[in-house]
Amino acid sequence: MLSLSKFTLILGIGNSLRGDDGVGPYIIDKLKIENSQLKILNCGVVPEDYIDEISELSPDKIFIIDAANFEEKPGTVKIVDEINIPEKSLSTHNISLKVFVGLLKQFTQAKVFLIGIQPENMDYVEGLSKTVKASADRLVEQIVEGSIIKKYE
Amino acid sequence: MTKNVKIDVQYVTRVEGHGNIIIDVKNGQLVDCKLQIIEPPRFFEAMVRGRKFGDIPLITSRICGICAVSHNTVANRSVENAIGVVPSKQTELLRKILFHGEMIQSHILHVYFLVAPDFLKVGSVIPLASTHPDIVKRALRLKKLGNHICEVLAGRHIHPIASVVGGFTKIPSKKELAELKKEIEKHLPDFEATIELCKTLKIPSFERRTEYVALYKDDEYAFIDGVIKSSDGDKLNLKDYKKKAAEYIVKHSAAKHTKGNRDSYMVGALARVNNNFSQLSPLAKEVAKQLGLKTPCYNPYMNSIAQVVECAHCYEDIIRLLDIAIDTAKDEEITFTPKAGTGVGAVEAPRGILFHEYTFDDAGVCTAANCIIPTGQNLENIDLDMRKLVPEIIDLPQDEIRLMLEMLVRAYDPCISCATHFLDVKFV
Repeated sequence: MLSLSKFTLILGIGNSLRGDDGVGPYIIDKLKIENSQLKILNCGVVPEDYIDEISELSPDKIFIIDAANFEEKPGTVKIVDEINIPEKSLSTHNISLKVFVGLLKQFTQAKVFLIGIQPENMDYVEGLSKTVKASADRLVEQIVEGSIIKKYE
Repeated sequence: MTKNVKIDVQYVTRVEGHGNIIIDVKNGQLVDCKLQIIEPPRFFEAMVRGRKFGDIPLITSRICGICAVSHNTVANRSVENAIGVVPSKQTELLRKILFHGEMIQSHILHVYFLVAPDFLKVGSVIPLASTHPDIVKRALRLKKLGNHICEVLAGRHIHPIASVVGGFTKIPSKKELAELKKEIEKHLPDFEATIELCKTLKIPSFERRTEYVALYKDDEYAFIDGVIKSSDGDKLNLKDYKKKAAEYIVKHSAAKHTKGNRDSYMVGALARVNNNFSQLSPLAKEVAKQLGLKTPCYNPYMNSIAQVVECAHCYEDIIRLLDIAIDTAKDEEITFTPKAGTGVGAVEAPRGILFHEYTFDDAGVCTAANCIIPTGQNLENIDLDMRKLVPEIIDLPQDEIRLMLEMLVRAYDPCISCATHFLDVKFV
């Protein structure tokens, strides 16, 4: 199980009505592992609406899970630090991820990472594609084991 | 005057979508001056052809992530006019509440995130969060309130899902409406602080008389339905909208321009306040006075101030409307028999008058569609404003000319995403 020395926040961003764009909220829904060192938050399509709440939580580290186009094979997972977060993500929220991260950096002392998952299907459908769901389920296991978060201590 | 000025602002920042400002002055003579719109069109009108009437508002609300309620509402109204549906009084009431929420959300986003950084001498909202954290937190609270209103009324923070042709699939309970009212009332200090902030902004002085176009109703400050009213004095029924918004193509813009009585006209908060000032709420009139907005106002930079005046109107009016809804809310079934036909709808989106028109066959399938977006209607007016402004400020350093032009474009709150129907937000 998790063994963390500091407080980590995991955010899921995306639209569950847009196929693989819902991968962030899907993972948050599966995690259900909150403890004194870890909190999870489903920010859906309006992450900026949670900035107040996030700044009050004052995390040391924030992982944002979102669909992101790296032009890789569907289901590919890439973890990038705050400097390398792309200007555009594929989510339909109306303030760009870069601006959201910029605001997080102003209102918290946290290190911010993006866990991006290459989507396969962004049509107006509910549910993830098979490939992306498999990647998401693996990610859930890795987060619960603590391997991902430890790697970015 | 022999000055040469060459300005090529690639991707004007803090507007929604991609546009370039091109200015070329040779030997003191203005050679070129335009706002290039370089987004590719998104072909929403083609996308909805072949779809059933009920799909149309859900699809077209995706034109924009900021004024999704406007696109949803106008699509509902035009479909209803086409297939012969008359919405209930309760539907009209709930749509107005929903609409006020979007107006607050969109205006706040514009004034705080896109306009304020210019006046507070920072590059964007991110450094603003460092220099003025309280201001940014307040903006985020008010924007969140707008999204919350949309969630309670229409089931989602953006892109409403419960607001459909004929009414609402779910009516909020009296308890939910009462809680929403309390939540809105809690934000009064944030609205007051917004007005105080705006008192400190030094709005550039520039004037160009133009035609102002907005919806008008006899009995209220119009946001949904009405007739098309011009500051030149004429009024048109909605079915004649193409006489006012006559579209044409220009080489430098992927979005069509429009013209009315003159070479250009302006739509948006300033046009609405100019045309319908007497119908604003008492609080909004007082805010206009405090912020120095006297009508008729010919300064396009004052559009942002007009937006704050409208925020005050929406704040006061939404509480009044919620009181009615709390007393009267009841479940309602949506029943109607659609017929073939053509219908036009119009709303005042945050950025100005928005028209949708659809035609349906006997099976309720869309056979023709047309959307005319506020930003498209403002583009020619922006070009003509720039053409008048540049000679007036030609003696300023080039960087200041550039900033004044960028601020002018931003004052219109252009949604290039909507105008070309493309969605992207670019900040510095």
